[in-house]
Amino acid sequence: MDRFRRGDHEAVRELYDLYSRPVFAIALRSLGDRVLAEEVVQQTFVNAWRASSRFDPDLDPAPWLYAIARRVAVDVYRRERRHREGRREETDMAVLPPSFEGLWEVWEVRAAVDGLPKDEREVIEATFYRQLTHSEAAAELGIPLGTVKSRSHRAFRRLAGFLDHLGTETA
Amino acid sequence: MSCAEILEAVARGRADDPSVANHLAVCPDCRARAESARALGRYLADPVMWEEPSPVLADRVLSAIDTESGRKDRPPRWWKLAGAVAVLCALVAGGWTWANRPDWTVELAPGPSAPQAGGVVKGWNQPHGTRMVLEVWGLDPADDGSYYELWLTAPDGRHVSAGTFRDSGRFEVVAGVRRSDFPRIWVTLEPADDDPGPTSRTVLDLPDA
Repeated sequence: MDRFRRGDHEAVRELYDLYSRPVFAIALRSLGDRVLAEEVVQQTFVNAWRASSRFDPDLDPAPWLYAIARRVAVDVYRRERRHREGRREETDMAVLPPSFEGLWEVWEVRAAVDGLPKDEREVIEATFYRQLTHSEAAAELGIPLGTVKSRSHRAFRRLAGFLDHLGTETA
Repeated sequence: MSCAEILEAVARGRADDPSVANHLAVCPDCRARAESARALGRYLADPVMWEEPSPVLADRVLSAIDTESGRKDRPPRWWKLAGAVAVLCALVAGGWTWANRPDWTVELAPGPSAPQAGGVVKGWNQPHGTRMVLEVWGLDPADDGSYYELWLTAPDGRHVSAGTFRDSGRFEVVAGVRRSDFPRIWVTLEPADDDPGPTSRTVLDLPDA
């Protein structure tokens, strides 16, 4: 964190590589716009750099970065809404849409997915996101059906182990 | 099927399959974890788990932090220096003047809050945004608790902040939007508050704004 505070490119890049995708995921979920989500990513790391002298380097930076990112996303949402509706602060600006609910879970799942080995991640992406059957995934990825199944089971067990609290919180 | 396979089947929306439903009926541990597995399955089918930010965003973050920290000339590592030399040679061979020419240049006229100020912005259109070099003169140093902010504004009134500074000088900034979408470029004097939008204190603006 000392290197990050000094603006050391490698330290900034390390933190970015670890956390930019979870930041992007919660920004995209909450705002629904890629351009705005990338603006949130950029501003989150700039704000984190500004505040880094107040961060305890012994702590996990994930919750700290999450809090900064969510705040930036809220600010961007309110700015866009003000401009869209042509009005200044009003009491109902305090109310956030449902897309801002459960963002910590989004962060956790995205971080866990990104932590999977590449070969397991591509099987999970193919079968859960693109809804391919194991056979279709095997054909597309060019690997044996048994390998798809074993990678899928292994990856799912790994994710379920990290994320066995999902659906029990409203974060 | 093992408990792990049952939970994976639940996550894939197959809780009603007879073999899965029968297992759940007799396994309290799987029943307790079934809701979590369903939630995980929903998340894994969500595009936000798989969308990637653009590859150039990391460089924009680094550039923005450099701009904030006022860094101008960072000593390059030896391999970056070697790369820079190679790029320089290529630029010379290909015509440096052409390669370095900005895609657009605009002059900024003084606004009501700084009638003695002036500025020029040179811009390079990039795949996922705009790199700009801003030169400003005639501005007094911003007081404590305030700063100057460069904005890009769309015809529909949306604003994007491209960076902040505290005094006259030359600054490189990067915005995550295209100039063609956000044609107005202007500078305001901002109080250090929580309002993310521009104030009415315009110090520089396009002459025809």
